[in-house]
Amino acid sequence: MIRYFLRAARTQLKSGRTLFLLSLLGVALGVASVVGIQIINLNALGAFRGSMRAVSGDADLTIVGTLPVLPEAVYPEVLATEGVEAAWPLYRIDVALEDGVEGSIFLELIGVDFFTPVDVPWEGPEVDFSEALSRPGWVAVTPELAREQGWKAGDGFTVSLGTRKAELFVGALSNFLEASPFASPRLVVMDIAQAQSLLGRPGELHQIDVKLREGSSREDAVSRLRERFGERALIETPEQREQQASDLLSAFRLNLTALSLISLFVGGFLVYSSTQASLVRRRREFGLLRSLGATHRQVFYLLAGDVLMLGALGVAVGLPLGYLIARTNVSRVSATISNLYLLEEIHRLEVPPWFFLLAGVVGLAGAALGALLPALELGRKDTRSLLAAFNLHERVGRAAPWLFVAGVALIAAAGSLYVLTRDRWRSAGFVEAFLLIAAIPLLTPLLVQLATDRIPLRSFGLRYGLKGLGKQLQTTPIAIAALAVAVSMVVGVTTMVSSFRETLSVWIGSTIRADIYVTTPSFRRARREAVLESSVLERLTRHPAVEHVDRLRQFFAYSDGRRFSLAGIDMSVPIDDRFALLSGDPTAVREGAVLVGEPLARKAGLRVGDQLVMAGPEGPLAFPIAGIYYDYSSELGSAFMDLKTMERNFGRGPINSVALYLSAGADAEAVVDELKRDLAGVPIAIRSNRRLREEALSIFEQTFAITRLLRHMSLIIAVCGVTLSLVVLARERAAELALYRALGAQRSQLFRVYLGKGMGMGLSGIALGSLAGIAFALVLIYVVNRAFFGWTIAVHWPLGLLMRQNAVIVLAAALASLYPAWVASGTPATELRREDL
Amino acid sequence: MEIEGPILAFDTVSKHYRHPSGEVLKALDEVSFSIAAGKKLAITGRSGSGKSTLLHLAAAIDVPSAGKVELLGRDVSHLSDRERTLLRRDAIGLVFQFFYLLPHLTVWENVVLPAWIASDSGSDERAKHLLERVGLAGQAEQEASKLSGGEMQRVAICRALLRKPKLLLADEPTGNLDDENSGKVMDLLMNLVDEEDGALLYVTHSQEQAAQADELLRLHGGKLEPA
Repeated sequence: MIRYFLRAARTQLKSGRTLFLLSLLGVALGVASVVGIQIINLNALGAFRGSMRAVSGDADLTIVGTLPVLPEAVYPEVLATEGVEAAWPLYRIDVALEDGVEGSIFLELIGVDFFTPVDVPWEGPEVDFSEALSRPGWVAVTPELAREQGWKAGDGFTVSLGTRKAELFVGALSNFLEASPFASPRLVVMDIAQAQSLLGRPGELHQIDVKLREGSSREDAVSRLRERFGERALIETPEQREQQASDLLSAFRLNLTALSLISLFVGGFLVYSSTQASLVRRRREFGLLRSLGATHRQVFYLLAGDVLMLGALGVAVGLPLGYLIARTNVSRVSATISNLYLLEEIHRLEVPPWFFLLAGVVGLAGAALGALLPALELGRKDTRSLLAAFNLHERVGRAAPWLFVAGVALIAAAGSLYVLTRDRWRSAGFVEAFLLIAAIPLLTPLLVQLATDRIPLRSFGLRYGLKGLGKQLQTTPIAIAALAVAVSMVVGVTTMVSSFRETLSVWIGSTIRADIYVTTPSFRRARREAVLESSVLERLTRHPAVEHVDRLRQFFAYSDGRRFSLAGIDMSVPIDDRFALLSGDPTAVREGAVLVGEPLARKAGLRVGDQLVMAGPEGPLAFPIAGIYYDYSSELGSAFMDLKTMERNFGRGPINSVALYLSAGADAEAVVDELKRDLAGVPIAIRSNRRLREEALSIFEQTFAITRLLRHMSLIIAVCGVTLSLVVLARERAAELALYRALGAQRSQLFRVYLGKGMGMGLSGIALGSLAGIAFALVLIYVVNRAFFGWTIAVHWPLGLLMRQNAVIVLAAALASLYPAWVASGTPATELRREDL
Repeated sequence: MEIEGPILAFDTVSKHYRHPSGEVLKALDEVSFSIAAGKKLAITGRSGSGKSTLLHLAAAIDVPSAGKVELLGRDVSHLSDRERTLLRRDAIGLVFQFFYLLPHLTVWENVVLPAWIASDSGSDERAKHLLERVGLAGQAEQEASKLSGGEMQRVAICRALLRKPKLLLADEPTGNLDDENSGKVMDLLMNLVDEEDGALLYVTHSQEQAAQADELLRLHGGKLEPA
């Protein structure tokens, strides 16, 4: 039987090359989108894990400050804790490499005590530690960074943190990637005391890594350390830290995974169509084999073998394609992860061996699922019915009402789930979206039938082809459903992104009110540590056009173990409506209350009138919540308080950025230029209101670039589906086409009939997909976004954009039908054989 | 269009097919005959004798390898595919052994299909008349797949006659029917051809049906000989 399979497969490949290639493309693109996204997801988390391992090595515990730094005095306390064998302090800051471009490259600078057991994988000649301690600016860099920047030992470079600059030089090479392949090549190591004095603040630590005594209990050590430090520090195991990063990225990763799975789902339709076509084409062959004694199972295996071959080749093509997708999109995703989640950027793509296995399983399972129904159907058929011509159209036609009922039931289930779960089950949105998408193929046959039944026939051309769609239910609804699923994704995601953009635009309009914003290149990563020195602040406020200066101090605070950005602003500045409020009143902020951003409020279940409790220098601090504001700046969550309140509770601290309000009539761009001239040489980022808005929107566009790619991929697969099903139709209906030719139909007429079918499929796919897309958009906006990101998005229907997209889809469907139309129009009248029409 | 001379004339027509092995198969070998307007010609022959090839050539579906096929005075070998298609559409009616009705169309739609193909919008009355004539006016809106074999062939005859063809070609028109239906359908076909004043060329196995023609020829091994 294996020999027969190989022989038959060769023949099938020869005779149905187009069908096979189209199916292969569908599977390969589906696999590629899943593989591409999973590689990115894997490496996003891997980058965090890699840097964590590179820095903390085999530490059992990590202690981080909640204020957010630890005083050095804590270190001996840690060492004195029972069960602790060793501990080493770390000073971690992100600095900007001065290369003339604002904040283009960040280095993660780690200050370590070289006399503690830190496992630094040195490379090259033996490191002279006395030099590392005594020569100012001595750092060890990774060989990759040295290569990238063209540095060699002894070369100097400048970094900035806030408005401070430091001159560093390459003292040694240390290859962290050897110990931890995912680690950032931009890890830079220097002596901790040097790091504190050159760029930070002496007496402060960011992290203490702890090695426990062999045999001592980790749980006991954690309890003892918690008891000792209370709210001042978080004691975390490596697993907990990894889990936190994983939780933080989970929504982002899950969203991308779900979108990529839609591509695979659409690809599955192609496999279904091609298997169905194969079944129709080979039914007599299978019947003959059965009559010669082949068992049900053997015939089933023949079909399954075809599918497995398709799946395996799809994986073989999809894997490199997926890697390519990951490679070309990694920088955008990395920027999103860095901007939105403040986690490590992805510097390299690693694909572990087990991943190939996963990709293989995904591809083969996708292909197998797509072929499952036709294969089962083949298994049920007896020899007689295989040998006889059978009419799938009639069977699908009879089942259409029942399929429709099942589709309606799925929609009802999605609705019920929404009503029943609301905010209680986070993943409900994905289940609802899946139910809606799964309903599409079930609704399609009857809807296509009903719609085409109403088309009056008076001629043989486009309209005749259109009407024929409802008459060929064995093939066309599958392609229409595949297209509808892709369109629903396009409409849903486009509407969601467009609504988001519109909401963001309104939000930016109401929150970016100042004329000029000033911060430092390192602020994006370093936040609290990126300080605007008072001398610089003074020069900024001295400018004659500056009327008001709104100062912002920001650091990360912890509330119930949840990290969020806490910002202090000067509420005495007479600016109205500085916040786009969802609820509450900002006036109480002057009296010590806080405003909480929507993502934090949703995730922590906070309302106006509640208290926001956070760790403070002397113990927990509670602030009444005066209002909740719209916040789309980060998914971490944020809160605002008056600078005076912040100083009262957290002590005096540096300013990280300022907003300048100019006097009426001042030209903001001209003032920006003047300030830049005045502050030449100072690492500073000065942006006009307009420029900052543009940058915010461009970061937004970057965030959704990959979703655009995914929906385009789904669409390409679906358009392949149109070609595939029309080619199948042209082949299956060769006798019918021959009859038309015998009755005097010209080639151009048959061409138009098939063009009509293609356009009809496009229009039907758009109609069905748009309806489902509207529901999909609402689920994404009202359920998924709120549950996972905590953002309120006002629905905005981008009608113009959707119409343009739909026009492109119809055009694509028409183009996709050109080849089948050409095949169909070439059918000679002599093809009229003794076959049932 | 008035035609002088025969509607269809075969002049030493041969049709050869080359087998992949290189062997040449002579489906028709120097066949000559003609048929005038209002006449009926029957051709008999065993399976594989070349009957289908002859009908394909007569319908301008195919062109001869040698010799000349003249349809309405035009040499089909000199016509383009499009010209042959239009000639077939406007001058020829085809009736098949297996009816070849489109199962997804209604009886009415099957009958008017040639008019749609020809973008001829004035055939409704004609279709109605033909369906009444074959006794199927009441089933016009029924799906063709629901009809019996005899009914299907009656619909197929209506379709073939809809555009008043000068030549009706019928390939074993009763080959798929039982005896009772065969007789009825054949009688109907003959009567309708008489009424329409067209020429009829039909292929049959039945000697009885062949005897109803004005002229009877026999195909044997690709050669035509008097029966």
